[in-house]
Amino acid sequence: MQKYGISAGQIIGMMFWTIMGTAVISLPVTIGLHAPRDAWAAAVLFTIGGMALGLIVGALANRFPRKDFVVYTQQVLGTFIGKLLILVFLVWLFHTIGLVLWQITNFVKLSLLPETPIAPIMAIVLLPSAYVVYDGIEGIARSSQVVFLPTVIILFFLYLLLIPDVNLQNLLPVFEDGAANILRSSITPLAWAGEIMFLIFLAPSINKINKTAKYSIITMALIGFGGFIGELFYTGVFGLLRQHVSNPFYSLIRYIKPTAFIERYDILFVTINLLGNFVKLSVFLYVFVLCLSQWLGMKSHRPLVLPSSVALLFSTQYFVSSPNELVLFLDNVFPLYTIPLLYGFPSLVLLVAVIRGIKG
Amino acid sequence: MFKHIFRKNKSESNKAAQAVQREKFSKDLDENIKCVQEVLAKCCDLESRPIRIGRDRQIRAHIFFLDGMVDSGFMAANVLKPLMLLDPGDTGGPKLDDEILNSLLPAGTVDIVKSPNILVSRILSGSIAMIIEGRESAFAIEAIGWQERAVEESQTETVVKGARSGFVENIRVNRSLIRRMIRYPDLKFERLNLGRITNTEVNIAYIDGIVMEGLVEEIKRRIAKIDIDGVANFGMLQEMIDDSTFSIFHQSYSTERPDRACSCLLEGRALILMDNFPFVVVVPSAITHFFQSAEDYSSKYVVASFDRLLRFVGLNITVLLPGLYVAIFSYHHEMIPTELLKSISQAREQLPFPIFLEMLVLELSLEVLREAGVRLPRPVGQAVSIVGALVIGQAAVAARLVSPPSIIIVALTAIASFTIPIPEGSDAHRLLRFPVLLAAGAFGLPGIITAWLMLLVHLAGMRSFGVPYLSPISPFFLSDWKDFLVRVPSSFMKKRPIQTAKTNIRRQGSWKRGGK
Repeated sequence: MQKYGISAGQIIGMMFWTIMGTAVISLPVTIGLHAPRDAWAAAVLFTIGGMALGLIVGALANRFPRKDFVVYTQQVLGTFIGKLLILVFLVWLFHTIGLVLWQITNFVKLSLLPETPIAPIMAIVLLPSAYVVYDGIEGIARSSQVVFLPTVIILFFLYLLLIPDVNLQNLLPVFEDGAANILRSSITPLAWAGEIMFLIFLAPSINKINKTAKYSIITMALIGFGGFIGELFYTGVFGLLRQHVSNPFYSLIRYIKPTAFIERYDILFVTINLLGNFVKLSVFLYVFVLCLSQWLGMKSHRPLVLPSSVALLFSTQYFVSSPNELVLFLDNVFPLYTIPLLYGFPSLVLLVAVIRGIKG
Repeated sequence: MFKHIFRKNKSESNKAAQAVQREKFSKDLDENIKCVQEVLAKCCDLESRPIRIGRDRQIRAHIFFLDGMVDSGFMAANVLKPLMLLDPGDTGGPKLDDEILNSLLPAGTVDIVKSPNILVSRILSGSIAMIIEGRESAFAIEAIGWQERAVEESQTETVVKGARSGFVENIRVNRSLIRRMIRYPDLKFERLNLGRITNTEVNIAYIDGIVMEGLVEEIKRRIAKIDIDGVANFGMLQEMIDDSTFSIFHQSYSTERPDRACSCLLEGRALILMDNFPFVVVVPSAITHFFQSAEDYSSKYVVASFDRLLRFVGLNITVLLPGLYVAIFSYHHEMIPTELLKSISQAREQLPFPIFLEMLVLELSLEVLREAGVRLPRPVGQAVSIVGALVIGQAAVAARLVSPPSIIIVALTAIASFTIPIPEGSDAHRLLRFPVLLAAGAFGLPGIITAWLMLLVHLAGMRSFGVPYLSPISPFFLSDWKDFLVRVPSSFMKKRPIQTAKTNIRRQGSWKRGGK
């Protein structure tokens, strides 16, 4: 049967929501803690960091076309160090998927289902992703492509409705927060931007593999633009108050004035958020299951989907105990080990490969 | 126990094989006659009679045919008469066979058959068999004369403007209906047989040079794999060649209209014709078919596009509306304007059941009504629909069992489900609203989104003969969107669907349209 691979549109659809999915929920909070007025600057730094990593990913994909990252890492760094680093990455990934799942579930619970216990919500959030991961990369790519355009259009539409509430005076004076605070606020977003390195696991299925760098730069530009607009709106609407808002976008949508037809627009936001995070969870889970199966030397990733999903459902409930704790964790601890891992790991592999002159 | 049953089946089929064990005719006429009669013993519709060929009545012969399967007038005029009135001088010698074959029988199809097995199968498909003494062969003269339905207007796919003829049960007539529309030597019909016992004729129709590469071989491979006694319906064939058997969707679709079948041929698809069924199966199929109707091409493109968008809305209403209604009124009251909420809440005052149960019961009773309406004879069906409308519509509201808004939603769903032009599509979507309803009852809006995503994932992973079911949405093909949710003017549709016609994309040259 003919293999279709992943096209440019599908990659952008996938990676956009892979990074944007939880970024929309959590990043504005952590940015707002440090630089409420110049939050947009964090979006710019975020884009630059992501693009730089995109170049590294592209170089790796060019160097080892049609070869899996897990395989050539062991070839480049040696079997033992390679396996060990992949294992570290797998542990990080498992924990991060748990955090992602917890963020989505908590958001759904707070916004729509306050009386439902958290475990069943978690199960229905994870169910479609587990199904699509079982189907494989083509299924993920196609459903992401279907989801991408409508969600982005709705997002754009919601921003349009908010324009009357924006007060650009809130942004002034520019750079009042100080360079140190701006840099501090962009650390967590940089950890998020590191997720663009997931492209390296998907690269063997990409149709035009030599354009991987280009794709990641386009994706980062799109996300950066979205984040930039978003931060402008948060500050424009809330001003310095945004330091105290725990769900900025959700509160933002509630600012939209009711029309005759729809009383409240927040349900639209919850919808696109669930759709977008479906993409995010699918890509994360796929990379985890694929990586694990290759690490274990299995031929197919399919037998691992069900056990991994069940393990996630059980362990996620112990990863986080409260939303405030999560914000503090994401702000202070998460970037400390995520940035070295996501940026350092591919860079190390590339560096050693260049020094040792290994090509795929 | 199962082993025992299987063993028994095996021995039965062996017995049947033994009965037809004679591979060759003998020289003795009586023995040949006995051989045919043994195989067709206890068939009261078998007619046989001895005749003598030639005016001098020198040569003995015997004919067999099945009563009702052959045209007796044709037989008398074109088979019996020329043989019985044969000149005495021509009756001798080995040349008689050639004589009969080439110049004596004014029938269209005459074959010399060497084995009794083949002769019997020819008798069973409406030929006259003639065995002549002293020869190790027999004649099979085709003289089909059974009763059949004339070409009538299609019942399932009616149009206001457009061709009226629909396929019939006879595969030959269906072939001719297609051939009449496409007079092109590269239109091929390949013959296969399906079913050990029914021996049903199956044809694969395609246009050489346009058809999707490898498609015909794949269809043949899938049909050849089927080992079954008989196929009772073309739906079974569709199911047996599907890529994903357990899907709720058929990965092929059937049409009763020759014009639609021909346009599919021109798109690079293939048709599967099956004898005795007035439908042809089109493969590969895709999500585009849920929205296309034959009517679209006779109305102006603006109207056609509007209709297609309506169908898209109708499809979404069918699947999502009952679920959304339940979700909003049991979980998310805050979403709708206060006035609307007030009026619906007032209508729902003092009702005994929660809204989810109310909708579930109403939707199920709608399905019961629909099923009863389809099964019952037409006059009774009308009575059922009156009772259904009065009892469920009026009395249930008057008795304060259900609320009028719920009835409106159910009615809207039912009507919307009929906008989908192909039965394969509307059936599937009709059923899909129940999982959505259940998800909505359990989890509200997140439940609906999950159900929708499950459907999306299912469609994204599905293929029809290798073609992704979600194309042209994903993989994305811009030129295929010209004939999907909207239809552009005909002169702009210069390309065939990319998925099915990879090698031969262009269907129109570069000509200047209209008055230009």
